[in-house]
Amino acid sequence: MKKLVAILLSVMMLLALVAACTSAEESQAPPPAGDNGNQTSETAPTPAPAPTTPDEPPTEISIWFNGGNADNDDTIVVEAVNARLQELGLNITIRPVWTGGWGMGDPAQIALNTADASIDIFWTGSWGLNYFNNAQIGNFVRLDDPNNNLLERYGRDVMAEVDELLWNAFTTEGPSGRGLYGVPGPKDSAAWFKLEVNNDRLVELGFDFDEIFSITESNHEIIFDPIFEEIMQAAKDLYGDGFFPLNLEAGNFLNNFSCTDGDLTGINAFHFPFDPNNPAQPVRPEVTLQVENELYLRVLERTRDFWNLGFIDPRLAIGEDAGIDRGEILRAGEFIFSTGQYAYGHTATVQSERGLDIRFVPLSRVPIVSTMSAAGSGFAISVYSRNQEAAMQFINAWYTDNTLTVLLSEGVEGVHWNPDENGLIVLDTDARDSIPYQTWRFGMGNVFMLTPRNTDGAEYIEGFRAYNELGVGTAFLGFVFDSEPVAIQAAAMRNVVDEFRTPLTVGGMDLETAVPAYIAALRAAGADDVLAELNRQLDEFFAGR
Amino acid sequence: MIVTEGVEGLFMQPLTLNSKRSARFKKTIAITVMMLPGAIWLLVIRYLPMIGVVMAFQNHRPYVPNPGFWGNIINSPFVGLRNFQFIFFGDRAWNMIFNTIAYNAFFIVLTTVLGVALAILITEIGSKFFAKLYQTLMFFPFFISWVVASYFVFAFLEPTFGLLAHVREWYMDPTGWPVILTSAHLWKTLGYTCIVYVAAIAGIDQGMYEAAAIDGASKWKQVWHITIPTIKPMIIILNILAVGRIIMADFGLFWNVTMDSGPLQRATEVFDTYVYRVMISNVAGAMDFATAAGLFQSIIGFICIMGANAIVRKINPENSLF
Amino acid sequence: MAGRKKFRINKVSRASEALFHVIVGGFALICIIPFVFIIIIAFTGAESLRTIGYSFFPAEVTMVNFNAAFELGDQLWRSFYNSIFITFIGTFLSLLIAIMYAYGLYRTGYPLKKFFTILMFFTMLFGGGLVPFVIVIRNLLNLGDTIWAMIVPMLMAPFNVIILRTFYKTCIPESLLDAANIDGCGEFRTLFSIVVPLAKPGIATIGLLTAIGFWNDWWHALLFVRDRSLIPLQFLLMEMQRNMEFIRRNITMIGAENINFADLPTQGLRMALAVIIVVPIAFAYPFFQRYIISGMTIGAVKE
Repeated sequence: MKKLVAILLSVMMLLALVAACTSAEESQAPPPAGDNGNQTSETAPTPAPAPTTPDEPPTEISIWFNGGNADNDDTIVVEAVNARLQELGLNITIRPVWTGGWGMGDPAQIALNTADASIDIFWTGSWGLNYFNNAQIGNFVRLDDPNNNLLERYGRDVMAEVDELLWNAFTTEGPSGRGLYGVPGPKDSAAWFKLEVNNDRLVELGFDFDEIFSITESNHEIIFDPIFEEIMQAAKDLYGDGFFPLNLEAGNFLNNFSCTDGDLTGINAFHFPFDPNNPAQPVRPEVTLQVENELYLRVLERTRDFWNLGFIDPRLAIGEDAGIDRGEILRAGEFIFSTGQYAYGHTATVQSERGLDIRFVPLSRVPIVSTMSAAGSGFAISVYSRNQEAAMQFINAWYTDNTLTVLLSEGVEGVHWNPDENGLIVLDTDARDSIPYQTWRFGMGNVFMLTPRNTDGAEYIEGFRAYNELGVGTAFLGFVFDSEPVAIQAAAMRNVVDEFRTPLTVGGMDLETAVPAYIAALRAAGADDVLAELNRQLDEFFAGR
Repeated sequence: MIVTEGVEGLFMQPLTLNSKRSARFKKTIAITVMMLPGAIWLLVIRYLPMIGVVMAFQNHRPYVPNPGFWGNIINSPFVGLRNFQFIFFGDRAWNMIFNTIAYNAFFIVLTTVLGVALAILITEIGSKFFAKLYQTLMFFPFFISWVVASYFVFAFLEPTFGLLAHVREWYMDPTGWPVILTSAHLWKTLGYTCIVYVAAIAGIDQGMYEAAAIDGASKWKQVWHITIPTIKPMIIILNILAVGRIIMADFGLFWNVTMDSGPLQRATEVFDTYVYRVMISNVAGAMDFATAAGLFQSIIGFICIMGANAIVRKINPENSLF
Repeated sequence: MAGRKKFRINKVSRASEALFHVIVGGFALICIIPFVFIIIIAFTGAESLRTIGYSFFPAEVTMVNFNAAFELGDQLWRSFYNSIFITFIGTFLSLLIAIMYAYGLYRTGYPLKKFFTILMFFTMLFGGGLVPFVIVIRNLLNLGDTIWAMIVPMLMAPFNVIILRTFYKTCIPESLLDAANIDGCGEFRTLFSIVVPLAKPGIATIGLLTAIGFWNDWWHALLFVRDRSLIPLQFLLMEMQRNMEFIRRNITMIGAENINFADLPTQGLRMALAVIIVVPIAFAYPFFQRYIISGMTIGAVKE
């Protein structure tokens, strides 16, 4: 009997495999043809966004969202969005693809790399699914292509709605020429490096915040002030050995104090300096290796002192999640100073969430706008999409319609939230638990189309705009490095950076030996070639401005 | 067997010869039918994608006018061996190639010796209960992912609370890591290797041992003259396969257990971590580099396996892979 | 009777056996301690982790992590079910394929033996890379977003087939099969009624490996599955892990304000999930082991 079953099963399996194969062969023929058809169909159907006949089946657009809750139950949201799209005269339905959050960006990359036509719109940013890389490679459709200007035809509203500065930041070189390969997401386009001060503990130690810090001036020199060390020493004496007053983000600390625009090459070894008191200096600053920049080295030495004094958790030299529950430390206020970036509205959130008196000290006089911060988030249409025009229509509607934005960012009125007397959104936490719907608000299209939450206050949007207007573009704003000509050297340099950077920047390495070794290793990996190419591209960039 | 067939054939009448032939034909058909599910799977899942090897020699890009798998492959420019260059770029690259081979050589020798030894010890333990218990326990590491296992190592070595923190700054100092990684590898794989050998030993006819014992052979002699020769094919096959992976590394071991701590790289960087670093670096063409690296690993593995197999075949064709 | 006695005589001395217990038992202990450790961390509170780090003796024991894991609710149970389904069906089918394929590679006188050996062996070394593989599974076989996308790619493991063939070789004398053939036994019957029972230890061994392979797989889910109702348990754990690692790598670019740290899984929760994942497959182990050990008695039966 067993034998019979086994034989039967194997025969069945065989048949199934054969069937799968024949169906495979059948479907093997269409793809190239389908792709051909795709090209022609791009221009043929959906001639205009104008009224559609209701009998025609709607075009389904799938959108890959990063962040948010992967377990979103979006049925009612999608229904409401589809209804709204019909109201707007668009015969389009959407199918969101929620990913598990931040680390799941690479499935999106895999989808793009494997010519997956089932996703029409991708979330993209300066990190995660990198906008510039994918645009340069040709994974995204050029929206202002003179031969097929989607933006001109279907994106008039969104062109007017989004700030010009962001469009400029999103302009990049690609296979279809220099242009726009995505729609930038209006959000906090300015980044403001900050020092976070735990005032509760400062008071406990007997120091006065206002005497030490000025919150209107640049404070980037503060770490060289003896008082900085004095405070931490006092904390160390009071709270004991297990307390680390300086809570760093591995790698971020130095950037903040050494006034750099980050490393626009993505290699994390170059220093793109700006003047903290005048970020938009007109002259072209000199780009060098980070460890050859004077200010960077000074900060490095200072950090090393703090490390030796035991102010920094030694586990940080291993990496960010090496046994350190950073969230827990921040929540519990187990620090005196902490680093990070300032975002609009962050202060209020932190104060209310942690119940601590946290003060923010800006390290530059004004927030800066760099290529990275401006291109922080956006949406792009896949070259493999078969519904590129409908996708553009959807983005256009979504970015300019309050109803759609609120639906996708906050959920359905009466279910996920209710309006208060001022029309602000009051989240229904219980409902959001039972019908999970959570998104990354800053990454969902156009933040300025949102209705503020009651916790944000009615002036949220105006405040946001004001904050962005404060931002000053650095000299490098809009510069994007193309690593193609020096890809091998760049790859080799990344390996060297991985060896040295994290422990070095938290003070974990002896500078006298580590810095020369680091420089030598970078040079051996071809740093000079990369620097030469970088300078060539920078020359071009500055000449073109 | 061939001999008997021949002898039989000599004395058979023509009619029976025919039926013999048809029986053999039937047998061939039956076995081929058995092979089909596996063969079809191999062709579809493994052979069909091999078209993609082309990418290792290309600057692979979407073909914008007509994007799609075929469009991209046909229209991407060929760049010769450019994608392979990064494997040999600079002394760091040679260092990681050396590391990969050195670790694998260690692993192969130690896993074989200790795996066989443990298997023999287990089978000699009289109490079935304990033999089972030990085996079960030894298998546990196989269930635990490297990510999770790395926390255990971390608990001992971390600089703040680690039990061995006072010895040295473990994650800043490469000394000692070859030992730690080798131990971790053995910890994870010995249980499984051991089980394969236990199962092989279990298949040995007990009568052989008893006959040997009657002849006065000591336990040691029995192991040497019965156990080892019988499981030799298994030992050889496992080692030939391992030699084919000489340039491949267990990514989780070298990436997670070291917490990817930079200063350890000289001692812990291996082929797969090196390639992974490039892959996630946002460098243009990273995917092409990775494909090229994979092909390179295959070719080296192929050469090694062919070499090992040729040597084995020379000594004893019975034990060779093919 | 006599055989039994001899069997008892042919044993190592008590002292040696004690030594074996120490060596093997010691190694077994080393193997299990990390798992015990993980269980302890899973029961450790966040406060304790922050103040004394990972420790065998936590300052605070709590169920919080397991509660948090069970709060994943439906998703947890659905993933649990998926993992079990994938493991059962996958192991069964791939064992069937391996048993048959290895048989052909083992049987002398089978003219296509060499061809099929090389056909399989070649794929152990050469692969086509990720992109065409994904396209074959998703576009050609149309398995995207089905549970089969996590089974079909792993149906055959050439390594296991080679191991099994070697088992056949070492444990089954071919004369036995020829005798069966002469008795009029077809190849299918020979395989399933003679070879399979004799090769039980080998089959159980690769069965165990296969089952673990299916149980621990998350990679194919990552590649092919977007429907949350289909993801396996291991994928949930990996998702958390990858999120953490991604943040570590990109913290300078993302900026801490973009991350709601409260949403990140704690170390404890990850450990709790790791425990939840290990337990079922660990229970499956004795099932396979029975056959592996049963092989030990086969020799005696034969005599």
